[in-house]
Amino acid sequence: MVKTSALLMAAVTAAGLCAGCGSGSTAGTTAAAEKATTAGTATTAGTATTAGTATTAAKAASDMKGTKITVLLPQHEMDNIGFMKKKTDEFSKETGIQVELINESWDNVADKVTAEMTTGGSSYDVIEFDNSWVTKFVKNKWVEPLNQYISDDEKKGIVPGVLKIFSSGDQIYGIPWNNDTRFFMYNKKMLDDAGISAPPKTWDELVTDSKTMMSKGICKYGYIDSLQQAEAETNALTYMVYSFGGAFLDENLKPNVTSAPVKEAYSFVAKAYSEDKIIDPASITSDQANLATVFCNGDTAFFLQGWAGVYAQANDASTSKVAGQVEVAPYSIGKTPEDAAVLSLPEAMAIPTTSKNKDAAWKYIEFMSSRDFDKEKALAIGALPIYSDLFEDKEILAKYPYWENFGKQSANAKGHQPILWHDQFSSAVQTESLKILLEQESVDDGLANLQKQLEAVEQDN
Amino acid sequence: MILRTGKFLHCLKRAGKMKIKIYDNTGQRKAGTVVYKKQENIFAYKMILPAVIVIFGVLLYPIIYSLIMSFSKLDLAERTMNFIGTKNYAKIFTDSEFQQSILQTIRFTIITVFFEMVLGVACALVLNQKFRGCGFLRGVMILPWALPNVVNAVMWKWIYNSSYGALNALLKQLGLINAYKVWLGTPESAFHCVAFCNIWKETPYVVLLVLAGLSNINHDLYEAARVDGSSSWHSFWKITLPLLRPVTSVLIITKTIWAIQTFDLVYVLTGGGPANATEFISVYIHKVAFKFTQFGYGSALSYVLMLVTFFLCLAYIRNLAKQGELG
Repeated sequence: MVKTSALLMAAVTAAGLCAGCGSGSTAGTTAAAEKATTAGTATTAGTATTAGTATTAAKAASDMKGTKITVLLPQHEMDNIGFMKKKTDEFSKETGIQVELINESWDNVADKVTAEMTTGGSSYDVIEFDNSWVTKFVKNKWVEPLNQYISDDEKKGIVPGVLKIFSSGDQIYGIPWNNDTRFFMYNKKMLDDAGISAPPKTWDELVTDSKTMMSKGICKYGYIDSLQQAEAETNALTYMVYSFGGAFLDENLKPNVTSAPVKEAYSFVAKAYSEDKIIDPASITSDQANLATVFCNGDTAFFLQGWAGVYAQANDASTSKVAGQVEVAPYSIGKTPEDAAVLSLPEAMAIPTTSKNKDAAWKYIEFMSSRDFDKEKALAIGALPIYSDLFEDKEILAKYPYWENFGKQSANAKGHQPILWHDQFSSAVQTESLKILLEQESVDDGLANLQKQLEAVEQDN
Repeated sequence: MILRTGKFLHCLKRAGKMKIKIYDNTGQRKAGTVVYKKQENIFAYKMILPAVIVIFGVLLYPIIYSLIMSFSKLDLAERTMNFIGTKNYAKIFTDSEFQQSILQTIRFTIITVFFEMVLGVACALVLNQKFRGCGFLRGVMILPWALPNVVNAVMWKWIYNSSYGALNALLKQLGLINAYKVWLGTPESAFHCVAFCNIWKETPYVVLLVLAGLSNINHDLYEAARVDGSSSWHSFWKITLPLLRPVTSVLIITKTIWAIQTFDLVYVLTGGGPANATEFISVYIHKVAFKFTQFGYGSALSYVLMLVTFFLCLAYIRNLAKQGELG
């Protein structure tokens, strides 16, 4: 009897050691937001709406005093001064709505959001809504349509292309909080020292310039990229493929990786990594934060797809060894100048359909996406605005004159192709791409394998 | 109250009740039976009942739910499960990525368990000696094991950093390398770096238990062996190792189970890369379930892993039973 019981307990314990997945939400919590002294700069409800609407909003906000909401967002890559947290505290103080702000790395946030949405949990009231998730989240009815909340002024004011990414049909599902478009930057002093008059416009020029500078000992490598097996690797290679005039998927969103432009892109990267050696080998293990560190240390000459804050960071003498040397190019690199592209990876805030505090959640989103907040954020941390007119704001341009070149590059901005199976797509791209770079497979074999995998996934979905 | 007659007392325990048959001195059964409630048993069951309810409630519900999910496909929009039979289990046989993760996991398990045991026993033998500072060393030795797994992984990630890591700096200053190496940048190198991290962290646990085992060995045995002309090495093979067998067999089984379940170290250190070189079973299951949101297939994979662990646990229990620790 004892033996039987013990064996049964042991079997159950063993089974419990590997208890099945999907058993409930994985909500994470952090300490509650601290109360901060107000700077008195934000508007009362933080809206860009008319006075009449603001009054209504203020009344509604006061009705929600004491409500507690939980916000799950990635750490803004440019926010090294706690700006978002400070503004969250201001919102709490002004509205009485308590906010528990959870900031983690993008991958951690992605895991938490996915787990929460699939299990139907209601732990979060405002969530990260990435540009690659729109199709899946909308199809699965995970996020609330925001048309009932958003004002016409906001609709018109926000950069149309960015707002459209987070819409499906005529319904808006997310309000952008991070206009994460990437830009080509370079160390002008290194180019001058090497006798190079202008930053490269084509990939061939990039290779030549990199080799010139490396041979003269001006830099260790031409550039470093984020090729670690993570989402950032997919971003890096998507940009590369776009810049060769191609795309991973065709116009019908079917796998197209064996097409000529994709092969050319991969051949270039593989050769640059293994033969030309202009790509820092540390790229295989680098996340995005490491790219900025290496660039700001003066180890590389080019930053192919730097987020807006990299310029400020690189030219800040307290954080960079190359302060005053970095410039933004008026164009981005392509196989030919006509193929030039930049990657746009905006992120939005959305309200889960399971949230129990939707109105309070909207108040937070409204505050954190108001025009005043947007301008303050741009001035404080150099984040790109989400409102179109702010790109021509004199005060902002006086502080960031290089944004003029941002605007020029933005003309070629492209995002990820909207598919339901982006996660499987990204995973396959990451793995096969690394096998190609590490010479475990040839470019042709690797892309052929990738094509098969993507076709299988596309059929499953 | 127990009724006892003569020299014989036969009783049956049944659900806390003790049924007593009364016999006289000649062994003849007397008429009548006294039913006696064994109060101690009932009291004991009552005391453990809350814990049993919690344990079974916490364990059983997800186990059963996962089992149902493993035979289903989830509709993420409606949050319903559609029964699809054994398709999820059949998919396992055609999933090359899962098969690769199994191979990598087996390789990782064999390497780490072997080195943890060898190094653990060796360190324990050294620390079992009496010398100045042995107490301090025993305390310091446990520190790696005391570190949380995630902290351990983050620490090693920085040590292995190819641009600014301490390992590269140290080796270059010692003249052992000419240029900084990307330790986590190639499949083999990343695999061995992950294995080393795990060995570094888990060996102290082996040392701890083996030290306890060594303390139970009678030193007279070594004296006798020395008198008979046995060398230290011979004594180790003929005395120490056989007498440590109860400890080492338990350690091998538990270490194997833990190695198979390794997740957080890999997730933080490499994310399963590069090119899935460090994507062990648990990492792959996590990816399928939480990134691809294929909870049905993820559940099926989990059950396969659970079965492997279950049989290892059975071996562990049988081992304990042989040693007489179970009645």
